[in-house]
Amino acid sequence: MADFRIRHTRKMGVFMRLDSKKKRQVNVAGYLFILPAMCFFCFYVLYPIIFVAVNSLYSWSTLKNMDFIGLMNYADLFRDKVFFKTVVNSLKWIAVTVPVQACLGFLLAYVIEERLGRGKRGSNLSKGVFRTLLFIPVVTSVTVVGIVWSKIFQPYQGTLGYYLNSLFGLSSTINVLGNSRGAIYGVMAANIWEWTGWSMLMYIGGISQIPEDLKEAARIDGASTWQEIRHIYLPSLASVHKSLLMLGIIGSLQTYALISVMTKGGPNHASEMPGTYIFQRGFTNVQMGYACAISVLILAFALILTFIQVKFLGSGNFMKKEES
Amino acid sequence: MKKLICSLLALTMALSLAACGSSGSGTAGSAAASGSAAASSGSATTLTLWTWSPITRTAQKMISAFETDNPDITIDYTNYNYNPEYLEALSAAAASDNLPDIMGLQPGSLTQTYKDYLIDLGPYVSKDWGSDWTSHYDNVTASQLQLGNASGDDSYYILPIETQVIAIEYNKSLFQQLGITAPTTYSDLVKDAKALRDGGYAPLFFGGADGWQHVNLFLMCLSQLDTKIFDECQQGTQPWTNDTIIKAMDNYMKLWKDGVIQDGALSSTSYNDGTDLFLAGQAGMMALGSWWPQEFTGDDVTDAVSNWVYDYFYLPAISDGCTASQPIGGIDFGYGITKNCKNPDAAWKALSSFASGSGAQQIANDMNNHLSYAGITPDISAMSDTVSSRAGAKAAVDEFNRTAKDIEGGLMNQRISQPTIETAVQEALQGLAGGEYTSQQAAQHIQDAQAALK
Repeated sequence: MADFRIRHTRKMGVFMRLDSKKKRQVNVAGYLFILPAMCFFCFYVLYPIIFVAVNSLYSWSTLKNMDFIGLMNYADLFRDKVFFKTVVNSLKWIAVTVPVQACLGFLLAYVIEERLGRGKRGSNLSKGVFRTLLFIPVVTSVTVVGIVWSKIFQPYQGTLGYYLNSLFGLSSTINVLGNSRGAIYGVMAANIWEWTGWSMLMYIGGISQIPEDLKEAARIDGASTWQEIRHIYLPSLASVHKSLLMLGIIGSLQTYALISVMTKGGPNHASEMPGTYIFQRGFTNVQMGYACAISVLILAFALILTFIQVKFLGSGNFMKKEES
Repeated sequence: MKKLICSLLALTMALSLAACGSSGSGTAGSAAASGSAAASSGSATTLTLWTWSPITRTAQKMISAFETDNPDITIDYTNYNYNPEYLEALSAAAASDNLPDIMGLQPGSLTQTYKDYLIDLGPYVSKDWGSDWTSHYDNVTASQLQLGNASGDDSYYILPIETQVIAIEYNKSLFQQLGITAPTTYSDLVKDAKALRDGGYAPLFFGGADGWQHVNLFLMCLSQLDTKIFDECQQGTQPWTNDTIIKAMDNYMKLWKDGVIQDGALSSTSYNDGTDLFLAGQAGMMALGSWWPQEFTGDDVTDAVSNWVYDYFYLPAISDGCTASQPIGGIDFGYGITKNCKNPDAAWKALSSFASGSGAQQIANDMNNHLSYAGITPDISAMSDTVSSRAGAKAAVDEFNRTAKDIEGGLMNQRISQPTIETAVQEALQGLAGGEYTSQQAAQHIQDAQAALK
C-alpha cells in the first residue's frame, strides 16, 4: 500500500517529504559548496564562450565599432588556407607529441618505479630525486623553455649546431626553426621535453595502483620484462592512456606560448597553430570578429575530438580501477 | 550543527569571489593596470601614461624633466613590450573603457583602431605652435599625421614624438681588422660579406624571424628603383604585381643568394640574437636605424659601444638601373590623449613637453631616436659623466646628427597603414626568402590582401 507521510522537519529551513517509494533530499550544503566553482565557471568560462560566439557574427576591432555581418567570418574562414594549415599543424602536433610523451613518460615511470634500486636501501630516495628532476621542466616557465630551446636551435652559434659540427663534422648553421618543413617539429621537440615529466607522473600514479600480486604472479609464471609490460602494465594503465590522450588533445589545441616565443608561427605560417593565429588576427590585424570565429571553430573541433574519444575509448577516469 | 558550519563556510567562499574583481596596480607588463586616473586633489593632477617607447630609462628621464617643470602634475607611467603585451593591454582596457590618459600609438592602423577613444589634438597644437605647426616636421612625418583617417576626418589623433631613418649599421673596427671598408658598390658588399664569413663573423646579420626586418630591407631595395611606388601600391593606384616591385624582390633575393645575409637567418631575431652578436663584435653589419646610438647612453656597455666603433651606410645599388638606397623612415611613435582623461589640458602640457620641450631634450640626450619636432639635438654636456667621458662620445653623437640631416633631406615612407597589408608583405617576403614563393607569387600574395580590403 502506498504510504505517503509528510514529515516537516525544520533543519536549515528545509522541508523534507518522505515517500515510501522514493526519498528525495535537497543537499543545500552541497550546492553551496559548489557555488564558488560554478560562479567561477560561469564568469570566466561560460560567459567568455558566449561572448566570443556572439561577437563572431560581427566585424569589429573594438567594442565601439561593431558591424553585424552574420556568418561572413565563417564563410571567409572556410576559404582561409592559413586556418587549414593551423588545423593540419594541430593534428600533426597531436599525432607526434601525445604518443611520444606517453611512451617516454611510461618508460621513465617504469624504470623509476620498478627498476631503480629495486629492493635496495635508499631506493625511495633515488626515486624521489629522479621524479623531481624529471618533473622540473613541467614547472618551468614555458617562456623560459622557449627561449632556451630557441638558443639551442639558433643556426648561428647555436648549441645544437656547435655540437653537431664539433662531434660529427656537420654544418654548424643547422636551420631548424627557420625551415618551413622543420620549424613545427623543432617546437614539438621543446614541447615533448617540457611535458614528458607530466606523463611520467600520471604513469607513476597508475603503476602504484597495479596490484603487487598480479606482478608477482607474472614473474612466478616466468614472464619476461617485455611480457610483463605488454600483458600486465599496459592493460592496467588503460585509464591513464585515455586521460593523457584527452589532456594531450586539449593541450595541443591550446598551444600558444611556445610557438609565439620560438617561431611566432613562421616562417610564413609554417608552424602556425590555432592559438597564435587567433592572436595574430585579433590583436595584430585587429580583426576581432574573425578571431572570434576561429576560436568558435577550434572549440567545436576540440569538442568533436573529445566526444569521439569518449565514445570509442571511454572517459579514462584515472581514479576508476575498472573501465566499462 | 556540522551542516550549519559547512554552509556558512561555503557562503563565505562564495562571497569572497566578489573581492576578486579589483584592478591591479600599474606595473610594467600588467594588462590589469588601472587606466585613466587624471584625478586632481587640490591643484595636483596625476596622469596615466601607457607606452612601449621610449625605453624605460629614457622615459623616466623624459617624465622627470616634465614633472620638474610642472610640479603640480605627476605621470603614472607603465611600460609594456609592444607585442603582445601592449596590444593586449590596449584591447582589454578599451573593452572596459579604462584606457589611460595618454597612450603611445603608431600612425596608421593602430591609431585608427582606437581613434574613437581619442580626442582631436588639432586645437591644442594649433593654439600652442601656430597654424603652420606641421612645418616643424619632415615631409614623411607630416604626411603620416593623419595616416588612415577616413575621408573628411581632419582630426589629429596623435602627436608624433619620434621619427626614424633606417640604414645598415656596421662595425668599423671589425672592418678595419679584416682590411675591408664600407661598401659603395654591390660587388664591394658581396666581397665584404665574404671576408666577414671567412673570418668567422656574421656578414649582414638579419633577424628573419622578425617581419619588420624583411619589410625594412625590402624597402631599402625598393627605394633603389622608385621612392613613390610603395605608397601608390598601398593606396591601390598601382598593383603590387608591377614590374618595379618584382624587380625589388629579385634584388632582395640576391642578398640571400650572394651570401650577404648570414645562413639560417629565417629563425634568427634581431633583438636579441642579432644585437647580442653585433655588440660582441661577432657580426659585421645589421639592418638597423637611427635608434642604434641609444646603446651608447646605456649604463653598462661593451667596449665596442664605449668606443663607438659603429657607423652606417645606405645599401649600394644592387643591380643595373638602381641607385643606392634612399633614406627611408617616418614616425616611430606618437602619443594621443584619450577621452577618458579628466584633465586634457594637463595631458597636453605633458605631450608638448615630450614632443618639443624639456622631455624631448631628455630623449635627444639619450639618443633614443630623433625627435619628430625638428631642431632638437643631443647635448653632450647634459649627459652623465659616465657617458660623456666615454671615448666614443663624439663619434656616437656625430653619427646621430648625420642621420638627423638625412631625415631633414627628405624620407621615403616606411609605414604601412593597413595591418593586413603589413602582415601580407611580411608573409610574402618570408615565403620568398624561404623558397616557397617566387617574386611573382610573393607580389601576388600582397595583391590578394590588397584586393580583400575593398
